[in-house]
Amino acid sequence: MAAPSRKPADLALEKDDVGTKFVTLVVIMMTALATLAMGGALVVKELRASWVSSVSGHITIEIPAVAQDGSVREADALAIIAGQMRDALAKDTDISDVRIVSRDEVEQLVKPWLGANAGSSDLPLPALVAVRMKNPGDEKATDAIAQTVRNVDTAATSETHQAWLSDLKRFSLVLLMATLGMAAATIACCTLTVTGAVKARLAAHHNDIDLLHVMGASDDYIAGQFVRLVVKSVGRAALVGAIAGLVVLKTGGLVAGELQAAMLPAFRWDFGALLWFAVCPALVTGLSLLAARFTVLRTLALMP
Amino acid sequence: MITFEHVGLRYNIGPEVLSDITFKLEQGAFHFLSGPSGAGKTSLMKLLYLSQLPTRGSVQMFGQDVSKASRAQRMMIRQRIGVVFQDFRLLPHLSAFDNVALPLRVMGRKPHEVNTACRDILEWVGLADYMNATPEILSGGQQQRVAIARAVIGKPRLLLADEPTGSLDDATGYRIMRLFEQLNRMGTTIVIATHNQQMMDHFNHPRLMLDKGQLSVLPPTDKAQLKAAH
Ligand SMILES: Nc1ncnc2c1ncn2[C@@H]1O[C@H](COP(=O)(O)OP(=O)(O)OP(=O)(O)O)[C@@H](O)[C@H]1O
Ligand SMILES: [Mg+2]
Repeated sequence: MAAPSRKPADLALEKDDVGTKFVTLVVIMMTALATLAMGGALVVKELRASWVSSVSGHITIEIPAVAQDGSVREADALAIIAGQMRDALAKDTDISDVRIVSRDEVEQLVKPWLGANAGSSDLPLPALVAVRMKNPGDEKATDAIAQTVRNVDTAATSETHQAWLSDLKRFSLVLLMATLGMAAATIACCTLTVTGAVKARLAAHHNDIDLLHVMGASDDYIAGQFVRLVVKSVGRAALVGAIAGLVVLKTGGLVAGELQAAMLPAFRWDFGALLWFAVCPALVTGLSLLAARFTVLRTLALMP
Repeated sequence: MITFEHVGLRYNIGPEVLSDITFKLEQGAFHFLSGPSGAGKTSLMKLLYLSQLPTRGSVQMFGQDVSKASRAQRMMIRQRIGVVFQDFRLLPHLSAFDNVALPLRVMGRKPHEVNTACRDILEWVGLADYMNATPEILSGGQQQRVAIARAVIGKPRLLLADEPTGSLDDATGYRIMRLFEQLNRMGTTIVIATHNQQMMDHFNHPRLMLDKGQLSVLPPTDKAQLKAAH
């Protein structure tokens, strides 16, 4: 009679079908959920980056129609000052781009507040100059620009949008933390479930573990029996869950893309994104591995 | 090779099930361990295969005090001991072959070595045709022979058997006993726990008698005396 060539696992772990199926299902669902949360976090992260880059480094200079001494300046006069302002700022090497915001654009900007006929009214509109800095956040350069602005026109002010930017940063950080927290909570739940299952099996196989121990098996050998099974079954389930989550994200992204293409920056499916999404299944598997090993070794420590 | 000095054992906070046990086993000895049910035979076996450590006194095995030995040293001592358990303790999901292979795999032997050794030993106990059978389809006697094969496959220096012939008919029981004697002649020290008086009468070996946790060492049953009694 031929002897079996495959070396089976020593402990009857694979026979615990009910436990294994339940755990597998939980791991798949949890990893899929965690992947969705990670996808949400990635969207928030890219959204935040695009918001911040669209705002930071931009300075808007306002040349008010009412001068320091209270005299009202005509549009033509303002246009001349704006031109001087642009020429003065163009010499600044810290500035990558400077442009006068056209009167039409300014009217568009104030329209929500002043109504459709703002342009034709006699209301004095300010002139605006938009500046983009080479290094956003360079405070010395920002101060120098403010000085230049005041030199050209004492009534002019420069607005760096700092207050709005910091609000935006705080808001998006909270959003990012929330989505990452969801992913972390899901992974924690998953790990707890797997740990519970490992403990239950350990109790069921206490005698078998004792037998291997009495035969002179090392603690590592016995722990390895569990760890190998956990890595095999949890790792596989986590991978399936992550792929399921990615499929949902991809189809969801397509739908969202069609509906509101302009709103959400679609994340790129590059190596970085794959690494980002690999974090979930890797964490689930790694933590389960540690939990299994720790639980087995703690039980073995009670045996002489 | 094995020395017990004033050894006591209690489980948790229970009473002492073994008290003040003192004896010595030389390399190559063959002893029966006998006594009424509940006398502590299995408990003494557990001390011998290091499943329990003494709660007092000292147990020396292969020149080491087991209580003072490191975990790794105790592991090495265990690998030199083969055990036939009273309830066999075969792993139910494994074939006879894999059950027997277990000690060698635990020791990290190479697969081809394991295969050859397993086949030889299963033939030796008369189970060559049952290599792939799981314990549940084996008879009690066949299971016992798998347990015996597993205990001896690692060529242990000490073989402990707890009622090894309990489930066997007389003929098979005697055959197994002769297998043990064969191993003993090759240098293995053997301790066999048994209730079977006939067996002890038939095979001439010194007896360790346990009663209420106390041990006394008796010489082999005197055949002449037996004959005179009849
Ligand atoms: N794990 C344990 N925990 C607590 N008490 C135990 C344990 N194992 C055995 N005992 C007790 O130790 C005493 C001796 O038991 P042991 O199994 O050593 O006897 P034995 O001589 O092998 O009996 P038998 O011939 O029936 O197998 C008994 O009173 C038993 O209740
Ligand atoms: Mg017993």
